[in-house]
Amino acid sequence: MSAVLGIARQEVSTRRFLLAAAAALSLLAWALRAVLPPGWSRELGQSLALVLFLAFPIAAAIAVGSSLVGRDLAEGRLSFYFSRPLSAGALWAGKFLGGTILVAGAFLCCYLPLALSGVGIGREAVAIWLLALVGLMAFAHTISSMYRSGSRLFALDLSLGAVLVTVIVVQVRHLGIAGAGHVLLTTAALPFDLAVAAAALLAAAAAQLAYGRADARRGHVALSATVWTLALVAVAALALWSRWVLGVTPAEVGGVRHPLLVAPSGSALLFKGAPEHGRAGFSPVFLMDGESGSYVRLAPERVTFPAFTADGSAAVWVAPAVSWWWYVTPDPGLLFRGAEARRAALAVARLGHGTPVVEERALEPPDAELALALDGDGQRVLVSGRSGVSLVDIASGRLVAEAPLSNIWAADFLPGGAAVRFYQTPRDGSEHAFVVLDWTPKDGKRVERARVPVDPRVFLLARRGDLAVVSTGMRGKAIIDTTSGAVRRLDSATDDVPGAALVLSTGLVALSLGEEVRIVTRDGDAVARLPVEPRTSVYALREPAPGELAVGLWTLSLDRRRTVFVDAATGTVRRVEQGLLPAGVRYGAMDTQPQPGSFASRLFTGSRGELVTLEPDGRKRAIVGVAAR
Amino acid sequence: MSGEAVLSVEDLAVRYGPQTVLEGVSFQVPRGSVFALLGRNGSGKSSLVRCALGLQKPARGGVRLFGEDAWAARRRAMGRVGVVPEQPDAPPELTAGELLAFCAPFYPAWNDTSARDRLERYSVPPRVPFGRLSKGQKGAVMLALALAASPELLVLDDPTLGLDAVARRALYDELIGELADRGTTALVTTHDLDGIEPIADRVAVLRGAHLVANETLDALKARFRRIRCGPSAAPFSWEPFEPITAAEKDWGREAVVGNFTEERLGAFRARTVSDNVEVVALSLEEIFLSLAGTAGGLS
Repeated sequence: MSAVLGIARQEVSTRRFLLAAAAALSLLAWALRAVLPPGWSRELGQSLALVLFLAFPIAAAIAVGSSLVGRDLAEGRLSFYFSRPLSAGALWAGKFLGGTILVAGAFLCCYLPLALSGVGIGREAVAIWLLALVGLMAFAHTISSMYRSGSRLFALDLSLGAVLVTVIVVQVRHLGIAGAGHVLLTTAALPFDLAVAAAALLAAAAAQLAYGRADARRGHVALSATVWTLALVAVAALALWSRWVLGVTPAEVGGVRHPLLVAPSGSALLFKGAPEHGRAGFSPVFLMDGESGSYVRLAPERVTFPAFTADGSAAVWVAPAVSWWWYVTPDPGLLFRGAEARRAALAVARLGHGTPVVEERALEPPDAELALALDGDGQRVLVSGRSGVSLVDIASGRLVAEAPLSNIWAADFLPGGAAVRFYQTPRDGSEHAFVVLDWTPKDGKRVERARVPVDPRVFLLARRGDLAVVSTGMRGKAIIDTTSGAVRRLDSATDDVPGAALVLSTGLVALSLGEEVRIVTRDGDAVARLPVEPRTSVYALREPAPGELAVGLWTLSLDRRRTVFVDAATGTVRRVEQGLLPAGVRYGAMDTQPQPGSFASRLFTGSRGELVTLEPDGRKRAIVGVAAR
Repeated sequence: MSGEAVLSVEDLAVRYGPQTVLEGVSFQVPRGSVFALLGRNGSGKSSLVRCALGLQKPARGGVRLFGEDAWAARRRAMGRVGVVPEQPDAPPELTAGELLAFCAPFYPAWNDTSARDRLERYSVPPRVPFGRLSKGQKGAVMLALALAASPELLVLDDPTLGLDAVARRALYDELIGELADRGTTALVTTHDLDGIEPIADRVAVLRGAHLVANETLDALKARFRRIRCGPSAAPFSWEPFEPITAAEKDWGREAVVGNFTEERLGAFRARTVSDNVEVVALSLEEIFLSLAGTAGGLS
């Protein structure tokens, strides 16, 4: 141990100027704050401290690493140590302990002014930096030793290095395309990655000294053999690990996370789910056929809210252009400004025939952000962007028509597909209003069907056919008849919670009002009332079978959450399902209402995020989550 | 001098790629002896020393230091060995004082006082970094470090290389003193044959990757002679001598023989018509030239 400390002390002593330089530069950065005029001294001091913080320790790690053993090797001085009663292990430990002290010391000297000026990076980041610097020091040692040995083996090392980088890029790209690139850089994975790399390089250095001693070429052979063997193992491990990470299935999902979107007909659902027991925190989006259980995994960053066809046979969404390196660059916006300009694609999923099939198409509108609606035969899609809405031909991705409309809650193709109905809150005046607007793409004609004054906390709660239900904030709820433009206001004194609403297949409207669920006609006349007890809110309304209303009741207590099934015509309670709430509820209820009796109308979420369907015969069938296993 | 071998080289072979530097070299360094390993530049002396110190693994054979394999038991053995390398290899940033302080903890029998005395005697400035010392001062520091460890075996790899006559003399004086005081075994490779001749007990000569001589200095000197004969009309032969070099001169003939004995000289005289036979003893340098220098060239 004394030998290790002796060598470490010697290394630190001979390079103490590094620490002195780091301290001097830190003081300079610190002093600038006092010397320069107020206003910009702080910024300059911080900028200098930041540059110092980033650049000096990196330079120090490279300088120390490349000279720690490499210089002795090149100048034939390693024999000095090996001519003493010193083990190779003690020499290795002493040299790298000294190097680590120097690099860590330089880092801390540089970090201090930054921390003192209030730009600290946190303990975890400090630990990651230190690990990275030790790894960099070991890397510099490796390259330096290989180069300084003067062996032709260095050419082979360079070739293998290029192959290694290529293989790693391919692996990271593979993870990145699948949406799991971030798993390499998570707070748990990054220190592990760095520690493994640093340990492998340090192990190679140990092999170099133990096997080669003062013989530079023999040491080079040991160093290369260890580095490339460990690199091969690491690449194989990375490949296996990537395969394992990406292999997550819906069966492992502990609970479904937002978003959960369900086709209004058919049995397709799209959800994000994290495996209950890890897989490096990878949470893909699953597009799944709920009936058969077949699924595809999608990269979360490339999935936006989809629009489904009315029959649930297709779904389309805007797939943002996310490069695979997006995950592994510190600030892609800074480094790859060009990437932002890349156009999004249109993802088209064919559903209803077992495993969903997803294809990507070109998308002409440059600023497309969200798919709003699909026409009945799945040929055209309406997408919204920053400058308005565009009608796009799916097969070619070409723009068919566009309109400068914004703040759209929802859109539907009207029967026949010639016109589109928009539900929007235009910001074209001082008065907030909710507007129902029909647009004919062929001639660009726009017709306002209804206009309701609202306050800023407006929500579209439900829409079906010519009826829409809106929560207008403190102004209460309103039923809008888009055929006549009539607006029926209900209980203006209601609370400001948006609540829930549903347009039933019978033409009646169910909606939450204060401490009851009321079933009303389109004119607002009450047909039935279902009281809701205090401290319970109406979470969602569904029509699991024609004429049956399912009322999801939410409480803070998990045990008391439940869905009450009532006769929509009379309000008579038929049964209660404890612990289940209707699934697929999106904030603002912008989705198309599920068809009565459809898979979506029968899909419920359990208290642990599991998904189940209530079959017509009363049985529960697990779809995703704990109960599905 | 006891018969026990401190260092034993066994069938040693060293190769650098296709180049064979040492092949089948075997010898022993008896305890208490001063063993001079001679050879021309590139003859493999330094490679042999590196193998002996466990710094380099031979292609074949091995070296036993104090009865143990030098490669496997290097660390243990180095506690009993003092080394003065051909190129002073101490860290250039450390001063002589720092070098002593660095090395001291590794050796149980470290004699710091003697080392400091030695450095003072050689006028080595204690606060000047090793890298800035003169060649002679560096050699002195390395010798001081080697001797301070009170070694059983002292390995000196061409220690006088680049030293002036005064420094060379001082080094040998120091060495003689050490050997006289402690009976330390020494393995010395050198080109300074005049310097080593007074202190060497045994001599080994490397030539063309092989060992061509390995015996006591007395024995070596006893069997080498230069023999000169005046002109003779009769047929001439050097028998029973085996000349290593032989030449015709305008005054007669001359040869260096490596198997000289008085009996052979008597037989030679009896066979030779000329009465004018002169026999001259050779210095170590002359013997070395006849053994190692016959291949010609500068390297």
